[in-house]
Amino acid sequence: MRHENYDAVMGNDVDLLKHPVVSAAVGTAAMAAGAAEAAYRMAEKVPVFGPLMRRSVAGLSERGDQWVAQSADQFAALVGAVAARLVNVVLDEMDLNALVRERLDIDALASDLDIEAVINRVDLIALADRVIEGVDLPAIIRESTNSMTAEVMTDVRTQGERADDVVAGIVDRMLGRDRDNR
Amino acid sequence: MIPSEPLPDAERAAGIITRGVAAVIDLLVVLLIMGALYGGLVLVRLVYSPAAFSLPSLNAVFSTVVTFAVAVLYLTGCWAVSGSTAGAVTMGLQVVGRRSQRVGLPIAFLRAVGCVIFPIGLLWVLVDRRRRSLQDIVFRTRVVYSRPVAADNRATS
Repeated sequence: MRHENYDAVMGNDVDLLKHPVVSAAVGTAAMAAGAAEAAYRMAEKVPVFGPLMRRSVAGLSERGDQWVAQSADQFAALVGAVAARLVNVVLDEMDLNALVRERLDIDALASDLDIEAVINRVDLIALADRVIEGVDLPAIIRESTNSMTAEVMTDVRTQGERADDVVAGIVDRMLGRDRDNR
Repeated sequence: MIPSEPLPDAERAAGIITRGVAAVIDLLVVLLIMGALYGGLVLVRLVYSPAAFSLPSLNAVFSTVVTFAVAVLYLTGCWAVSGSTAGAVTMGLQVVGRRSQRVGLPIAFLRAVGCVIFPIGLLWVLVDRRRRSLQDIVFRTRVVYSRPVAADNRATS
């Protein structure tokens, strides 16, 4: 099943964060950042080199700002496209229906639905009209009437024929005739 | 007397009950036609002389003759065209010739006249071995049950 696969691949967020490799990497990064900050503070305090470096850092950040301002839109578009594709891929990979079925209590949702409000919004008379329009009522009535009439007619004829035979039998007996000799 | 030929099972001759009921229905039809004619006459008189209107009292002889004519026309037409009057259709009967499945117009006319003048002749069906009325004997016709199956057989044969 797809969603079982999904769980296995994604793993658990908490487990992932507690993994020793991750902890070690984060610790290293934090140390590096702290060392860089300390080095920068110290360099700033050096008499000639300090202001020079401060200026160049200001220039750098200015250029950085410019670059960010220039390419922010492009970058945003790029990120948006990548994110959209990523979401698509993820959605393709996941069986959303199964996911919803598994994670959502649809019965509870349905029981909370205000059906009265929905019905109030529907024009029931117009709906009924459309339904009746779809049903060919005259044809149904015609058909049933026709078959009923045909049945009654057949019945009348059969009964008449039987009555004929009964009367003929009585007359034959009265006249002392052999019925089969007719 | 024509020697009796064996009748196929699908074309059994009709008995007195069905034919009697059919005759009663036909009588009702003729009376309905007469009523319609009378109503039409009343309406025509009302249109032409609305002021001096009174229900027309009809001559007995005239009425009888018209009734006779209507009945003969009705029976002749029905028998010549389809072999079945309204009553015969209701009871599932058909008048057929001795050889063919249709009654010719002259025979139909003569049979109609005979039936209207002497309707009691129908009672001969009771005692006749082949269930013929006096008119049937005279004009060599038969009245048979018309069944859809019989119609199919006739169409294929």
